[in-house]
Amino acid sequence: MLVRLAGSFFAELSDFCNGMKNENYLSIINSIEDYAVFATDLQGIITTWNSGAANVLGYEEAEIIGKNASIFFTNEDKIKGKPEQELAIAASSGKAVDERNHVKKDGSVFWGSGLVFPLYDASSEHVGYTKVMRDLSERKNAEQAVIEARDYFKNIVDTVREPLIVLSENFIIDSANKSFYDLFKVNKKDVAGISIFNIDQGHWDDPRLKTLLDETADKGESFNDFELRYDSPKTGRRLLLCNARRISGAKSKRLLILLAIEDVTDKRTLEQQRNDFIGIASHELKTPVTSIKAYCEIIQQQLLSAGHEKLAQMAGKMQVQIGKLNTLIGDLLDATKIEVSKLQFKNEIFSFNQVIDEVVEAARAANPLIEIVKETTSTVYIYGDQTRTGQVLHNLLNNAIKYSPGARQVIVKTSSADGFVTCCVQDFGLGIPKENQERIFERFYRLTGDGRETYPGLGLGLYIASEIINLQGGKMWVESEPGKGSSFYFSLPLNNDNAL
Amino acid sequence: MRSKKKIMVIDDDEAILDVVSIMLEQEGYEVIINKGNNISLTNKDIMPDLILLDVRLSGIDGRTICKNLKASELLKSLPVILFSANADIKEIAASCGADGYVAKPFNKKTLVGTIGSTLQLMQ
Repeated sequence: MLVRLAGSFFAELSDFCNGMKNENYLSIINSIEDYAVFATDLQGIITTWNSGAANVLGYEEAEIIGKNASIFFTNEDKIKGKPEQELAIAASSGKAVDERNHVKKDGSVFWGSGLVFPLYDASSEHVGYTKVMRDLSERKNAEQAVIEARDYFKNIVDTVREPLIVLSENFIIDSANKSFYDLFKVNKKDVAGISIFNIDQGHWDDPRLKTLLDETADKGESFNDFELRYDSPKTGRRLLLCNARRISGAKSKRLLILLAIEDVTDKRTLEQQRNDFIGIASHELKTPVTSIKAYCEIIQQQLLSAGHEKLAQMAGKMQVQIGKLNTLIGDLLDATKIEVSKLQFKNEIFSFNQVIDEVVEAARAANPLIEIVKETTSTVYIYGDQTRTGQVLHNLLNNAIKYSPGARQVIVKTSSADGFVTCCVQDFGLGIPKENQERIFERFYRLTGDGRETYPGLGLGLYIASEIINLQGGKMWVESEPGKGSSFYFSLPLNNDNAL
Repeated sequence: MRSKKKIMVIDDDEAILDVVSIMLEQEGYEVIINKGNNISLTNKDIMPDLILLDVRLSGIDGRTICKNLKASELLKSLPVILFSANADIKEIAASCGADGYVAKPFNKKTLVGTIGSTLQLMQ
């Protein structure tokens, strides 16, 4: 019997499908391991089966011949009448092509392509169908993986609060995330295919931004933190920080630039408010402290003149406490200034030894029971802030005395080498456990245990001290052993020629 | 008998005005207090020998007052000492031409010492 089929492969295939015992065709069809090729009668009953079909669908020839091909359809498709529809389309159109889920013998489902052709005998009578199927699971999985990856990144991009925008040639907007549309109050269709410099009535048209984007496009040079003052009726006055990268891949010739925009308007306003607060707090807190301290001094003087020595002593103690309160206010303000990078340094060349002499003398006067030993090298000069450097040493000396109950000695040593002067303040007090040594320079960190709960403080002193040293190009560290004491070190770069 | 030196203290905080007055009067100065809202230096009879001026006043900046005084041909020789809780008082004083500065909180020794030495320099 001869069967007509479209296409040369299927023309030859038709012989096989019509049951011709041509060994050559049979061997060809059977050699196709990746394709299921089988024939059915008009009702869809399977009449032939190749080895590829056994591979793809899991049935051996002997067990599948005589069964209806609808067995490979999912129940859902069967309910929808898909097997019958497929045959009907093939009969009326000459072929039916589709991709759908198919069911294997073991019940597992795979994504496969199917081509169904009608079979005709020599007298052009429609006698059945042939179906060629391929397992497309891998392709489907790969496609699914691509879709999932795209969705995954799209979700990330849409979740990012920073507006992101991708520009193609001539800075045409290729795509943008939700935050971009939200911030600039535009719709996707409003901006698609339009140059960024033409959207929102040209408010993006900043010559400096254009130059930077040109360089990114031409030379691949990225830029960071470009400040764009954006002011449009839609957004109001905004301060935007823009970062850009060329993201075109090596294989793709297409130019793509990712522009990330950070709206720092509120952040900058908040920073300004914090800075204002520093100034106001400094004034508002220190003003009453000033008058209390001065009144106290007058009272002490009056009491002494009137011969009330004990009361005068109390007034003196009050002054010491007011001094501590003033230091705490100063520490809080310094910590706030460090936070907002507003700690100012009055840099000059100064004698480091002179700072040590002054701070040590003040500490000796305030702590007559402690022997403060000074072991300094010859005079060294530093370019930095003399007052702030003195503040650091004052803090270290105070800590050394505070955490050395019962100890009688504190040593201040200096040495210089390799362009740096190193100062060490050594005490013989409580010491610091190894595990806490790195954290003691953190803001608000306070050591606990071993009776330290009784020591007052905000946990700011070492933080401020180490920041002052770091900001002057030096470093601070500690060596300590519990029960034996601590040595706090800081190093600072010497002035160029170590001279005034 | 030589008349007492007059110090004009300009500050918007009443407690500061009060306590500074006590300290300076104890040292034999005559104190003219001013809350910073109406500074007039036209009357020769009450012309101070020195002005102690707070930097942060309500509604007006002490720096501006100091700069204006130093820009005036008539008043530029009148010594001005700035006092403030601002940690940068040294630089502030230098930037507006003040003759000295006192950081808040202060003690009597520093306050009186600074005023005394400034007056001496001006003689």
